[in-house]
Amino acid sequence: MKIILETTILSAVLGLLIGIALGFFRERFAVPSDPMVDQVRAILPGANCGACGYAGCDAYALAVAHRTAPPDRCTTGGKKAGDQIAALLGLTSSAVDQLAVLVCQGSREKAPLKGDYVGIDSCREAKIVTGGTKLCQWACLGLGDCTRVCPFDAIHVEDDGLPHVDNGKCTGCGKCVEECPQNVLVLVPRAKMGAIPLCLNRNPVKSKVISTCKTGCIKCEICVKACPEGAIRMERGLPVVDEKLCTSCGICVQKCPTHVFKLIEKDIIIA
Amino acid sequence: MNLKTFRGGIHPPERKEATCDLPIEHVPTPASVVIHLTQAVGAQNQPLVKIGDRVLKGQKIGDVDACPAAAVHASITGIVKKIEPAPQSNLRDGMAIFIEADGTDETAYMPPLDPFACSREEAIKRLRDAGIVGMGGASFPTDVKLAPPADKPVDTIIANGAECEPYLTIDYRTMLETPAVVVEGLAMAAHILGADKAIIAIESNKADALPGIQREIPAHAHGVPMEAVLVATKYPQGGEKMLIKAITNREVPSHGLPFDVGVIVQNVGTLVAISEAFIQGKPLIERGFTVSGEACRTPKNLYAPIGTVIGSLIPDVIQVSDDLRKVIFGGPMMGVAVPTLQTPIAKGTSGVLFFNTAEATQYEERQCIRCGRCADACPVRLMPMLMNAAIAIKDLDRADALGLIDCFECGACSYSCPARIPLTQRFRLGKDLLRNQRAKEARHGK
Repeated sequence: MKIILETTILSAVLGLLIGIALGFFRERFAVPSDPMVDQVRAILPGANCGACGYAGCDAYALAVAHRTAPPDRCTTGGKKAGDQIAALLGLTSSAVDQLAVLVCQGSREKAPLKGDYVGIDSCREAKIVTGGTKLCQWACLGLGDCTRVCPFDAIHVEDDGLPHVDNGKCTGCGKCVEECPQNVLVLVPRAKMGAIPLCLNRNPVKSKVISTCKTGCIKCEICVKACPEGAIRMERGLPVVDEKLCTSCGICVQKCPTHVFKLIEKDIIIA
Repeated sequence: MNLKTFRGGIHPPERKEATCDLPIEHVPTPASVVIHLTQAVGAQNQPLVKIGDRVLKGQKIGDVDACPAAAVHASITGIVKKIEPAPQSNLRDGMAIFIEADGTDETAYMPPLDPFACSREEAIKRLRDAGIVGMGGASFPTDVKLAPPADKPVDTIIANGAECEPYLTIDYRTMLETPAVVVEGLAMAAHILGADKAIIAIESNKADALPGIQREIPAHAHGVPMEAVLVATKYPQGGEKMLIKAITNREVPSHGLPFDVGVIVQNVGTLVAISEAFIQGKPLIERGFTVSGEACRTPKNLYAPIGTVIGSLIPDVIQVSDDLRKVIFGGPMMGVAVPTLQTPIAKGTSGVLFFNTAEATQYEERQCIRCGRCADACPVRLMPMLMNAAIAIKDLDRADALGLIDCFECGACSYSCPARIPLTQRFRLGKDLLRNQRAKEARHGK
């Protein structure tokens, strides 16, 4: 009993002394911090993904508070964070919520491989040594460089050999877009509606497209002719949809013989 | 005998027995050829012919007004059938001109030109018009190489007859069968360059070619001081920086080129092409290459028009076994594995190797055991194990400081690694990442 009592008292006294000392030194050696930096930092999501181009959220907050960086660079925080920071600093934000979309449908069964690639397990490396592992040289290589850079675990290569984006987790930071050596990932505003062509095959020879991928754009231009709004035009061998004119009628989706077009509606791609 | 060489290097099995005693065999004119518009380092060529045109053997069919670049020529007489992308031996599907033979053998060569009588500009222009590129594999335009900047005087030219890649024997056969042409070509190149001295370097395992070359020097050297020397048999003795070190004991500086130390190296095949371009007016439209490998039942040294699709030679000229697993254009160390037999012979194709399953075995990568064999093997004295570790953690600045850019991808480190780490492949990846990072830094004005 005595031992217990002594220990408790000793601990309490020691705790009190250390507490007083800590309190004293906290006041004595306090580092003044800019309240504006703290406020900006509080708005930022704290993912430290680096997509803004700064070392982390702290570094970006400092840069924004010192007006050396625009308030809308945080893609993870998206529109919400951009608007809040802009309001705080009396600036305007042009941030939009974005989403990574894979513009290639060359899955394992649709786009055959041109040979066995057995080197380092990386898309970039495979591209250097093979020029593309699939017969279509524009196709997604499916070796998962995007998966490895995603800070949010939002993109995974699945059984069909293509990476799939988890729309719930994707923050549109653009890391995968930057990493992809084939440039088959693009950022699309989450608010975007309308048709999107999912193919980058620029091979001018129609028969070559079909032999390399069952779902590649064969440059038949049926979509251009079929679109009632005249929203589709061909640019360097690929269809481009004018967002302002597209009404999401879905005619191009039905008409395309190789099913290149898909409709986007509020964060999701509709087959 | 203490032969000249460089520090480092490896001794892979030579495997030259299969073809070293076989004379170069001329392939019958193929029914069609696929000629890629761009086959050299440099600018993209534009087609000069249209579908349906009749083209003559030796006619220029692709060129561009840029430097460096090398023109391409029709290698057979016939009709242009199509112009579209086709599989290329550099694995990029480049634009190619498909020519179907019409059975005639008309030629459209340029008039002969005496390089010793004409001006230097004329001689350089002839090399440019003949589309001559380095035929050892790198495909660098020869006209650019023989016209170094004025502030870099070149005193020595070396004919590269090292042929250090296993299996390949085409340079050896060329030196053995046509030594006079090799010597003549070297004399022309030396004259154009204004070099004081010309040296023919031959690896010691090909010493048989030496007497023939030495016999021809008095008659064909056109007064250029010339000698033939033996160098040690070691890979990569045929790398130009290694050859310069071995013969002149000069060391090409980091990030530098051979002309920085006053030397130019030319492959013996290129010298033959130079000689033909002047004496016959013949552009680079045909070349010799070695066909070998365990899965090749008929190893040979062949001479065929550029653009000959390798698959079209099977089975009439080349027979392959059923166990064919991998086809390599070039040598086994630095060559490129092609995914299809529809790949045509290019200006830089020195060999086509057919490997069976055993030869094409891939091993699992293990942990580095810090044995340092890669550093011993590296001919440019880099430290591959440290560069590999730096690239693994994406510390590209450190990899750059370790000399990543000086790696010329000879593969000696990968070959010697007991842990089977694909070092060379990783350095190619590292160089690509480094280039991207530098480009990004330049964009952001760092």
